[in-house]
Amino acid sequence: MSGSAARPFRVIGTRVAKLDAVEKVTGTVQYLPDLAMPGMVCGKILRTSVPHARIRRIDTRRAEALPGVLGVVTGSNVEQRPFGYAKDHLALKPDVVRCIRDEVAAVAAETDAIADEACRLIEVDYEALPAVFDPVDAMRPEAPQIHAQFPGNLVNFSYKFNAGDVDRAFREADVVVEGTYTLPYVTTACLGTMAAIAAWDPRGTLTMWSTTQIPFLYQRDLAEALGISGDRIRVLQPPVGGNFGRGLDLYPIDIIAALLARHVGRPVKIVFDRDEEFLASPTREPCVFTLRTAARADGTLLARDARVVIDNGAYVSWGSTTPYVMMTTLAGFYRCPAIRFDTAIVYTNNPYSGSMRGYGNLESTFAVEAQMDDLAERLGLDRLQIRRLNANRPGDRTPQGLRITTCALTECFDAVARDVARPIDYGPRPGWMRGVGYAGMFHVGGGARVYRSDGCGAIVKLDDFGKVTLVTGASEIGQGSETVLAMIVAEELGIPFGRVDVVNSDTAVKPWDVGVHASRTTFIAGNAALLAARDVKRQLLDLGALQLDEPVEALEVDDGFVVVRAAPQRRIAYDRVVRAGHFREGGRILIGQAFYDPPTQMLDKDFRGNVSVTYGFAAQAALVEVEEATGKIEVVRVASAHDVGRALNPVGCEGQIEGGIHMGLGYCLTEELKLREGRVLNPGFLDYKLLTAPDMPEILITLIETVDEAGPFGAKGLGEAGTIPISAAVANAVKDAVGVRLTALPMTPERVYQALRERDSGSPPRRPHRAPRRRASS
Amino acid sequence: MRPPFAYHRPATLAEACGLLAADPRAVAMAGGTDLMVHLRQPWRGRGPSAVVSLRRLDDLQRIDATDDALRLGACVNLSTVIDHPLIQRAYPVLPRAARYMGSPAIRNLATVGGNLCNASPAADLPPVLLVLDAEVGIAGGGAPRRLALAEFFRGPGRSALMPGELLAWIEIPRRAADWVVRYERLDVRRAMDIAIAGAALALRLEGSRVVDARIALCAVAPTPCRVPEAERALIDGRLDEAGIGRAARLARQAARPIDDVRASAPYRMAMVETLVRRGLDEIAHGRRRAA
Amino acid sequence: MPDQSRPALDQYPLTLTVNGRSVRRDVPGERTLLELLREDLRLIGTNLACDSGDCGACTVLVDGRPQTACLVLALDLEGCEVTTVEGLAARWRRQLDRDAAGDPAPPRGAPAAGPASLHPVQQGFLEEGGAQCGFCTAGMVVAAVGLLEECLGAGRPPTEADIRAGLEGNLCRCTGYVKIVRAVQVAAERMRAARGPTP
Repeated sequence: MSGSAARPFRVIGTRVAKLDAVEKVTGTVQYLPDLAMPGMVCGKILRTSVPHARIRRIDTRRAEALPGVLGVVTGSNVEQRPFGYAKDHLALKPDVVRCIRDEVAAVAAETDAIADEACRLIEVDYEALPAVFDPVDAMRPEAPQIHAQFPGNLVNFSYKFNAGDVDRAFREADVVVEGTYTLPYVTTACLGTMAAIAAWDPRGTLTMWSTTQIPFLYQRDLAEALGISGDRIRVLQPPVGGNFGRGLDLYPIDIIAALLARHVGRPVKIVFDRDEEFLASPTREPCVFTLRTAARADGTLLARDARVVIDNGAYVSWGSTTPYVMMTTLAGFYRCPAIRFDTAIVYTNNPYSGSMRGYGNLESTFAVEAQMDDLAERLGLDRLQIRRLNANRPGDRTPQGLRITTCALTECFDAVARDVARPIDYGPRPGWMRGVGYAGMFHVGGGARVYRSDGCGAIVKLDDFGKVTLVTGASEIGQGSETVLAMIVAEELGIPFGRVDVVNSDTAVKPWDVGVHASRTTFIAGNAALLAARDVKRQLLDLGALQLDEPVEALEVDDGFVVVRAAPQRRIAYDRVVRAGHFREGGRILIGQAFYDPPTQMLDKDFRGNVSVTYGFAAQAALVEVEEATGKIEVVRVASAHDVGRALNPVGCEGQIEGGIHMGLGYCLTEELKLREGRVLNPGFLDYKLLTAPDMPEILITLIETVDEAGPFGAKGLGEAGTIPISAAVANAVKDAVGVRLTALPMTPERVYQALRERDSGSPPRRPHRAPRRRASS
Repeated sequence: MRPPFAYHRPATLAEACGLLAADPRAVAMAGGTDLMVHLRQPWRGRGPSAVVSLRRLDDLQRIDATDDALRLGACVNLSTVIDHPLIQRAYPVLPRAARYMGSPAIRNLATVGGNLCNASPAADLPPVLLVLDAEVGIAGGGAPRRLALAEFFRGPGRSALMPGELLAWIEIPRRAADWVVRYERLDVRRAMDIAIAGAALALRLEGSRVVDARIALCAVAPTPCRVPEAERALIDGRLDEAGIGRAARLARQAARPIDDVRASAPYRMAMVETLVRRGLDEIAHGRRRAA
Repeated sequence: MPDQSRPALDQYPLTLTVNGRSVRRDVPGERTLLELLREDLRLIGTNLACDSGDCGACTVLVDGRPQTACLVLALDLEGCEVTTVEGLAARWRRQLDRDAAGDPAPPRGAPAAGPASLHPVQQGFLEEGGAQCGFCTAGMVVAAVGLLEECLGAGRPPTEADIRAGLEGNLCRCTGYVKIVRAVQVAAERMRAARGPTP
């Protein structure tokens, strides 16, 4: 699937501006909150004030009577069906609320101010129920039951994987290391909040404008939740202010917007404000990851045994399926023959998690890479050497049956080792200790068959003006997918990049795609676009052959012309070829199409199968400084090397890596959504701390091109890779700098300080810091 | 979105005070960087009846230097504090403290007076102004009154302003310009953050003998506060390791922080000791920390 | 949008200049500058992301200085000059025209805009890949313009540290700021070359 690679590329590998860059720098781009339509009204959701309670009474009369209010919906005056991965969720809660996010009513009004006021006028009597906020507590027999149909508060997903004889490996090992790692709630914190507009037409067809990244699954799930057929929903995706996995499910906002719009007979727009975004947008799943690793004296890995306890929150969303990916790393990152993996996914009265960039891989990589360093220390081995020794290699099959084809993991480590060690012209300041840490990762890079289909469709149209339009199922979520897809089409058709338009935002027009996730879009949608472009190219050459009176084999495309290879002065521009084909008797227009669904398998009931065509690898090295007196960590430099197959869009590759590092460093150092008794204590950018421009380290990127023959022009997926290993690399660097191993994130100055004082006093490490008991200050 | 309120933009200080006195639910607004945030979540949805904007009061934006003092109008903004040559020359610790606060866009709005009147226990300017022996001028219905800054802070979010009163100016006595002054705070990221703990130090030295000392802390008590025990321990002593250590420990013991989302009390107390010790060390060794 | 829940008398006259054009409106006391721009003037380029001044997405220039529009009451800007992302290209052209004419007084009204006309900062973002999802971009670009006008106006070309500090109040979730900083460096060079040290 590599594409025509005989000559150097014209478009692939060049530095281009994103297709929508001009709109974004001039402020002409229209995001969902910018959209308005005749008759549109404002929707606002009323949420519970108690995390776990029975609703005794809701009285909406005063709200309904407020001038400017068009209608109020509650769980008892609308028709709704359960939705969500486990169908344990209703959009408007009719009788029980299970977390502080829960939606009990919604108002449609002429203005935001009136909708806000109306929400305040809705009277709700809650009868508080005993609640549980810790997964360990929730698993006890006496714990309050959160869903009657799931006794023991265990989500009934089982992620049990076994390979080899783990117990024997541990008995016979020369060394065993163990640890427990505590990973927190963080959230995507997109600059653009979640939003939805719903509009029903007189025929009963619903149009949704959404921030979703899975428009076709959303279409199907929303239809089910509303009790209508999928063909009566059309989903539009305006430009979105970030996603990072947030839009990977159907959420109450979507269903509520549709219910409100149906109820009041007007288009309804709901936009989360910032507090609501922190409260109600899905998080990364918090978990406690217990791992043991066994090895030989020479550093060869023998076995891993892991158990993960996940705080699922009140309902099941995609967060509950992250063990798929945790397992993949646990069982496949570095060669390790014997594996035991198990999880407990536990309902609590906390907000529920969804998918977030990296999707479980950050957590498992954090544990795995901590123990690679621990092993190196115990065995007296070089930390890079133990990694090279166990590194995955081309041709490997992991215990799950994942087939590694291209793999430059070792080269990635070599590159970051070299780059992190580049001279720095200043030493650490007095009181600061320097250290370096390494971590690698592997992740799906050629799609991910977690659903029955992992396919994406593409249509390529070549028109009378020689303009090419790619209609792709793949969504643009700000990452630049439409840009790289346009590059692929431009390269294949031999035209400048600026001649390709991309259409991708309307389910009524674009062909099916499962959605943007698992770093799959460049690979899957790219292959689809490439195949569709080839289809159009064939048609173009057929027409050109007629017009040039030459056999097709004698022709090629070059810079917008159909050319006779042996006599290149004989050429016709595309627009002429197309017009000649169009405006004659029996005329035809040129449209190519393809649906690419890769040759992979879903995991079977034993979690075996090759879910992706190929896999991406990366390594990072972090140079940090730690201040002994305060515990502050400063990351001075990050070297990040990636086996990308081929860097189709280098600007885009770098952008994804740089942004990924920012997100990963936040996870590692400063970001945490703090909950106490199920309530979010820091729903704002002041106390949910994203790193600012001065906080960022120097970043040195290496892109390694292994040219994977399965990918479009050799490319593999990359979108999540920058985020995955960085926390582990920094934790390892801190260990190198000051000799303390932090096992809980984020590594705040306070936590580091605590660990340093324990190191000095020789006392054993304490349990991870929990949310403080006393009330928060102003 | 803020709840509805009336808007006034008085032309004189007297007019402003009159509007505030006449309507107890009216609030004064300078830069708005605290107030406009508070107004997003007013208690039970009821905001102020009116905002009295201080934008047109040019007198509140004056900076005047006399032989005895430097007087800053309450509405001098933080960018001006950073850029103004008089302040840079006489009290470079003020631009240093102001640079910790917010961002350039916030500093173009936020004012010295607003920072004081918001009376957050974690605010950065109060400890610095306390060690500079600042006084404030309060305008109101009656005669204008002058108050030592230490008496201005009454509790978290509470100042000494009575209904109908406005903070008019902040004055720093000329003698403070001869002192060696430091401010350092501990935070988590390099901008847009709030102090976990902050310590301001001002010493008058003759050679290596401490003739007079001021130490003030923020974020570790209900209000910004001086630490007289630590100050007394330094005065008439030498700035040596034992003296510095003793003062730092006394400062730590005087701190009464709480646990909150940003940090725990024990950590804050430990950091008070670190910040005070470090600041005194720098003064002792004539070292200047990188900004 | 007409607000049916409040009495009509709580509106006040306001006159200010936005992107070179004079604007006259009656607005309620609590109207923020951001709401005025987005809802009353339909200048939707400036985005609402937090409404608390914590993220910088709503940064605009007020009398040439960056401010977070969500924290500013519209009525406080009587007589002021506001520039949003939509007005940057014209602002740059006016500055160039003024240099060429040697005339320090600004010309009346807004000059005609061409389709491809961009401020050097916008051009830099385009070339260096400074925008991904773009939601922070308007505020980021405006903050950068404010920073560069101040630095270059003082004859102080900004260092990388100056640029990062100048943008410290503008959060971005997509880029890690790397290409944003590069874009501003490129723009600084171009602006300096085009206008030289300015008084």
